[in-house]
Amino acid sequence: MAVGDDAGVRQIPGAIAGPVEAVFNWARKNSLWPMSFGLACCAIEMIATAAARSDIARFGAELFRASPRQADVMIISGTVTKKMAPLTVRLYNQIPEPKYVIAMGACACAGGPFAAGYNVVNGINRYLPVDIYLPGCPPRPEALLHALIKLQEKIAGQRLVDLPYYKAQRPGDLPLPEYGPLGLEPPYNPDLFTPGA
Amino acid sequence: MNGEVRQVTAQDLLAEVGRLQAAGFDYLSLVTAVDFIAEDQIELVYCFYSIASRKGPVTLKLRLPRTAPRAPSLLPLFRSADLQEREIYDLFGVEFEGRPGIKRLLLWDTFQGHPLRKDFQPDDDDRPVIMDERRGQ
Repeated sequence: MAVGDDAGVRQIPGAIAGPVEAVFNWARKNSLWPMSFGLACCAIEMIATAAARSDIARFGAELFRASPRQADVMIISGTVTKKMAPLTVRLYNQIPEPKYVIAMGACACAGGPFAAGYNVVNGINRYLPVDIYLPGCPPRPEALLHALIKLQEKIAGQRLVDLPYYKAQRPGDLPLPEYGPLGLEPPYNPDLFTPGA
Repeated sequence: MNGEVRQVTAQDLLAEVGRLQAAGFDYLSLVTAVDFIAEDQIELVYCFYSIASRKGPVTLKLRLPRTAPRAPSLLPLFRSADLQEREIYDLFGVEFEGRPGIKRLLLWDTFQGHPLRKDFQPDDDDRPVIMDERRGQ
């Protein structure tokens, strides 16, 4: 991901940034709005997480937004087929910064039981920068809450001046894969993914 | 009649289905295909039920050559054949005659090949290890 150099940091004096970012991070980690976006059976567990028994609202993430423009976190809940992958990347591009990705379930992490199939992307990390990998088939609601808490910890530890979207040159849209004769072209985004790494 | 399995040919499929319809079999439960690569044939399988008289299934099986397989479409008789015939065209490459233009159902239109055929070679983008082992590489 293209990131500008530190000379391009927008003017946030260090004496202010320190105390401010603690409050700022506390506020945004407790109001992570996921996108209403279900791909497969993991989406059912995601819905269960939002329901009364697990109640994701306790962690400030109850507002499943129907539009990517209003979302903060994209939960890739299920199998990403090759037919769906370009649309997934396009939806990710439409989320405003700062944005985060949780790869939920074995399929979104690595293709899962369908990894050897002709139509499944072997992990959404080929096309999107994933923040949290959540294994399981499917993960239980408690596991999704755990992933959310881990994401909150990650956000709490971020420094504002280090974030790409506060640089002068902000990261642009990710390229969309295209439908080829047998699969997607390219098979992965070389900026994000190295095979066998 | 329950559980009966009949082998038919492409020529007398429509007549056979017509006889079943006349006998009260009003529900086409499934259409599917099997790739018998050793015999160089693709088999279509049709299952019929009678909702009214609670009979069935009656299974019709139809063998076609693997190269350029063509079968008569059941769409004029059963609307439920539509999506399943498109799926078989998509995944096995069987052409259906006597129905308006057939399109791929699941894969995109520019996809090459029919992935449920046994000799289909998938995309070679760094396959996981499990796939290489299965191929004996």
